[in-house]
Amino acid sequence: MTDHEAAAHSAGPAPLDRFVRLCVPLTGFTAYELRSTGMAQLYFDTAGREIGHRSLDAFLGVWEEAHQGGLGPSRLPALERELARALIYLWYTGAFPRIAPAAHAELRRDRPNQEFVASPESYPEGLVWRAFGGHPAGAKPPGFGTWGDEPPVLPTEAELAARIAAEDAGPGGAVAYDAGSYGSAGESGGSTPAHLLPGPRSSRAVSPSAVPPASSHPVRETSPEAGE
Amino acid sequence: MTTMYDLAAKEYRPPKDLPELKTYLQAAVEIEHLTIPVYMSGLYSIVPGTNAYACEVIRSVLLEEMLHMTLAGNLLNAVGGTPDMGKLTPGYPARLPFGDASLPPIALQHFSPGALETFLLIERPHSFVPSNPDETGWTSIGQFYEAIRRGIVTLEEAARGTGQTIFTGDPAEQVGPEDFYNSGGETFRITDLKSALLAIEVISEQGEGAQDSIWDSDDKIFGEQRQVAHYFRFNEIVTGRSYGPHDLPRTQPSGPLVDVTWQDAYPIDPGAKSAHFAPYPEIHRAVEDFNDTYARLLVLFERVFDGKPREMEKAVPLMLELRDLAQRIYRNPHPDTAGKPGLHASPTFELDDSRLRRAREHITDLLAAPAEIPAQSATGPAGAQKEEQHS
Amino acid sequence: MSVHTTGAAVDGRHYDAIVVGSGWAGSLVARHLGRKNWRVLVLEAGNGGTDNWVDYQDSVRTFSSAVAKVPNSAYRPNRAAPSPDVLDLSPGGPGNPDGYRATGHFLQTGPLPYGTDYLRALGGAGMHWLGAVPRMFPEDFSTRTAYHYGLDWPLGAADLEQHLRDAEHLLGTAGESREQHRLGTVPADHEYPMEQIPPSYQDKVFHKKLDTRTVVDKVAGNREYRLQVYGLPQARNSTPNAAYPTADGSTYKPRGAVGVPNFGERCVGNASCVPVCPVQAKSSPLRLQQDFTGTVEIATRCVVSRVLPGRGNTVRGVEFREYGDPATPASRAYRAEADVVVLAAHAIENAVLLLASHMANSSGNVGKHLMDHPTLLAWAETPPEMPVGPYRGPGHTSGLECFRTAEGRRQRAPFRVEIGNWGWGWATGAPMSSVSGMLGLGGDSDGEVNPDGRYGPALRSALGSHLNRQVQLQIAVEQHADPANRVTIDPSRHRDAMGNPRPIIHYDLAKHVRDGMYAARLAALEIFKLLGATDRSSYGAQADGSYPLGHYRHSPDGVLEELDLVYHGAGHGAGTHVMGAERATSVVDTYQRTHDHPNLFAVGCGSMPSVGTSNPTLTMAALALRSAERIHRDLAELHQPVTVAGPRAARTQEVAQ
Repeated sequence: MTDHEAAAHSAGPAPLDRFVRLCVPLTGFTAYELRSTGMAQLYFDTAGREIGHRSLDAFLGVWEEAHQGGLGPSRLPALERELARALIYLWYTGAFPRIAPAAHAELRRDRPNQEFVASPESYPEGLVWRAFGGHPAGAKPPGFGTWGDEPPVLPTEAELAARIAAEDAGPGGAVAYDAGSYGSAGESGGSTPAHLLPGPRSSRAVSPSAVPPASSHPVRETSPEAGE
Repeated sequence: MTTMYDLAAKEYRPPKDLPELKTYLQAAVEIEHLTIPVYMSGLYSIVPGTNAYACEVIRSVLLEEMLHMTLAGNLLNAVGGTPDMGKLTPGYPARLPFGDASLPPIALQHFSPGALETFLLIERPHSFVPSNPDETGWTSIGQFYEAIRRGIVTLEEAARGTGQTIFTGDPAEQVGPEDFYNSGGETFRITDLKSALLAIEVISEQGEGAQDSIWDSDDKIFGEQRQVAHYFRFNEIVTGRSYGPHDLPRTQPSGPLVDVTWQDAYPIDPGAKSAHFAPYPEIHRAVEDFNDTYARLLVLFERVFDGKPREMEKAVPLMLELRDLAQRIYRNPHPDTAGKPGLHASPTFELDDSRLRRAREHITDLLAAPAEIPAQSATGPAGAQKEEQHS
Repeated sequence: MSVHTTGAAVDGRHYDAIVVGSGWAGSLVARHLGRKNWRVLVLEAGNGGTDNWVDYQDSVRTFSSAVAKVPNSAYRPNRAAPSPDVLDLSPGGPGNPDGYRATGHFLQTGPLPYGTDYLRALGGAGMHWLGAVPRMFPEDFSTRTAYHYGLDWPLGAADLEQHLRDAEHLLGTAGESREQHRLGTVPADHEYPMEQIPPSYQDKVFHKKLDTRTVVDKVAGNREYRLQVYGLPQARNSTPNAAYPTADGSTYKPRGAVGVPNFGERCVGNASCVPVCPVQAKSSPLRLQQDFTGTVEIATRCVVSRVLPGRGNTVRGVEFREYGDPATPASRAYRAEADVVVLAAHAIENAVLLLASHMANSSGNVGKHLMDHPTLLAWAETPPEMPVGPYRGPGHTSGLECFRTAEGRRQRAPFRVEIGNWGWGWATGAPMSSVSGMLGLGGDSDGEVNPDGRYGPALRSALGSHLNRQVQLQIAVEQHADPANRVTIDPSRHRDAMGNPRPIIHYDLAKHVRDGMYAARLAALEIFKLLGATDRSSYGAQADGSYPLGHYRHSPDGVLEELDLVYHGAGHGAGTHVMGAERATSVVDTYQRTHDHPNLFAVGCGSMPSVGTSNPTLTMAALALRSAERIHRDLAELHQPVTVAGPRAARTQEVAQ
């Protein structure tokens, strides 16, 4: 894609609207919440630059189809699954992550596979802080003594899914939430499986997205293509 | 009808007795409040990370307006009254009382040259106002505070003549500096004529400057670094240049350039109402949530001056919550893309009786509830066994 | 207000005192001497600028942009005056469990890495510190006598009482005196200027679950310890304490932010004290610099390279290099002279300066006894029905103090259990790494894309629940003075870009310290059990076969099970020019005057013979005030015979007006 095409790709509201709309089920945040970060355009541009505008377009197409077919991101092919994770990480932290080396190689990226913060303004807009009802370190302070208050009650997974479905409801009706293909463990919560938790940072120089999990993933890769 | 408009409709004179002084001070609380949504709109509509100087200026003025509202509340409390937040302006655009009736009403505007023109109008120094009073005799807010000052002096002198004082409020109910300091000055208790006159001096001089200079009197009053008064701080943004140490009120600023990028703001519909957003549930919910939170802040303020001064500590968290809610709304495009192309959604600062009633219930609960810690868990580490299957 | 000058402008000039370094110690000394009308030159090696609001906000943005939010992440790198950074260290890799690789300012030669940083910039490490100001226990000053390890101080807690109070005033501290008195760190009549910073919600959970419960310490002869959660005194703006006595009887007025008029409110809970408080509710040396009189001049970007010898055993002044651009080390050399020279450049930089100047080292002890608080991190997940709400408030607001004192110290190093308020951030890089973990991002150990992970509503709700349940204990273990842990230089081989010698660090943990860390690990497990939390700490081999930085295996007696342990640096460098009564075994006297040179002082944590289990800043500040008074008396004595009117007398008069 030429620079001119790249500019055309991100110009105008329609492609950005589509990007935001498709990021809603990925992130679990409504379009209003995504727009509230003020970062939609920056993330669209950053993702396009990092994985290539063509690859981003292709990814959005594959994801749109899967989503409309009622499938969650865990049913995506390996590369698209990792791209979904990268976009979610970008929305959740304001930083573009280090991705799986296999995906990095497949994309033939011309940039280092290293985490970086998209802008000084994006870090405080990370959705991870909203996910647990907190605020980013060093920004949006909640006021003297508020740290003594009980942590807020958070919406349940079902409530979040319902909000998104309400927003998604187009001419064809809402897409049902297939909890399993979003990796849901059900509402029970409990202790988090170790392979989904970060292990120790072997040194402070390791970027957050490069921190290995506390244990390796229990299931070995089964080709999703074969599984479908 | 709000007290300030009632008063402004009558003819100019200082308050003649204590009940009238209380009415004037209620109007003072209303006036100080009137500017807060206007400045919040200008500040929170700025795109994050841009217009650093302007952000700093508007933020500093906003803090001082909050200080002024608190001092006005302390004044009213000191003479035995309590502010009534039910009498605040029902919405914007709102007229600026005690001024030139021909001036346009004050609207909620995004950061823009137009908004700054409004800010300048609000903070216009006494001496800049052409002295052509209308039939009521009011010319400016500065003149209004002068009337209060004279009223307080006269009434206190008269009271002293009979061995009494007008400062009968309970000093323990005054808001002191404990929960409000280094934020455009600090609140202080008003218990006598001296502290009352000091409060009026702070309110007037932080706004329009001390004795026909561009400077306020923070250095004298709070032992803080003095700064350029509100009107002149805003003029720095308008002219794109800061004041130098020897500049005068009627000269233009001669100091270093100030970087202002007007395009880095979310343009909004100054006439937006919550009802306009009703067809778009997510935005509507956010605007309603904002208005509810705003009502809670005002009701909290009411409680603070009704015997709970230390609850002032809960005001800052509420203001910070408001900031977050507002900024999130501004970043969303106006959902009516056909009717309001290119505009963004905006908080509307609408208050009505039912909203205030809900806010009062909420604040009552907030002030009553201590944080609960879950009781000792008898079960031990929940889910520990389940976890072992994974590892 | 302070007077800024340049190196070129002061070249060849004479001052009453030259202070090297503008951190807490240097700023306290310079402030005091300035108020006594002495002419003082402060030379700061690093950049200035944070004393105005716009540049200070640049630090906040630098922090926001940083991938790794480490203590120096808010401050721009400086090639001319480099700072050590925790990012300089990485583990040895597979097959090298206790190994490490070091780059950056330090050259490391010891068996274990020295994982502590500091900052060379206006305000020094006082810019990125947490703001914790607990006092040392009286018994911490004499561990050799009482418990047969470490070095004793030549003075006691009582000798420092007034200076500690002055330091608590000047730093602007908030705390609960009654509680601290019960703990045994302050006298009965003590008050802090401000009320205690409110405890976190998590602190309240710990109170409820732990107070009065007991933990048995197998390392310390199965001693039983009764747990009690105590609040932490902090140098952070809080509510003024009405009972605090002030000189004029008025209520204490908290200090505002520097470089912006009329601002500097109470702590609003930005939860980023380290590395930067966006509203400056956390105290910093910049506040003290606001008090500098017109007789105190500061020159930044001036790196002192050596102390100049004077007549006899005195010193004459300093030689320094001034640079213009922090990105390039091009610089010019200048000199300034003074009746008194005060080194306040951080324990390690002070040692380098003394060694490079061949001064104050008749005892051979300069650079020896390097200390820190090796810190064990232990992390756990509380049950779903018991969220603790981390990532809110100051870094830590409460701790468990029972393991810090008494007979247990004989058997293992004492330790203080900080209850961390910022989740698993330090240990794992959470909450960012929690996002990548929950997603399964980054691939497996072969680099292939992971199969499962959570997304959308499942991700948001799982993260929401989990992050609110992250508990992290930061257990700071006392490290005693050990001559083998030391700073040396080798100017012929190891110099920085400007040509100044780099610190060469040899560091290890003695058995007493390793035993303390082992006991700390067991205590953490017991605490987690009492909380009903699931321990998630991990210190052994990771998925790729490598071990975390700071790893070692240890059993205190060969009988107790051998455990993998990992320590982190706490940023508490100390002990490199220890204080003592005997000049044969110590570098400075109780006034931090070098034994060898009557007009050369070395102030800061480097003078401390022991650090106990307290964050050292407050003690260091008290020592600096004690030195400042001594220096004032010295200068006054020096000038006493001068009674005829001369240029100096005229100058003094001018200042008085």
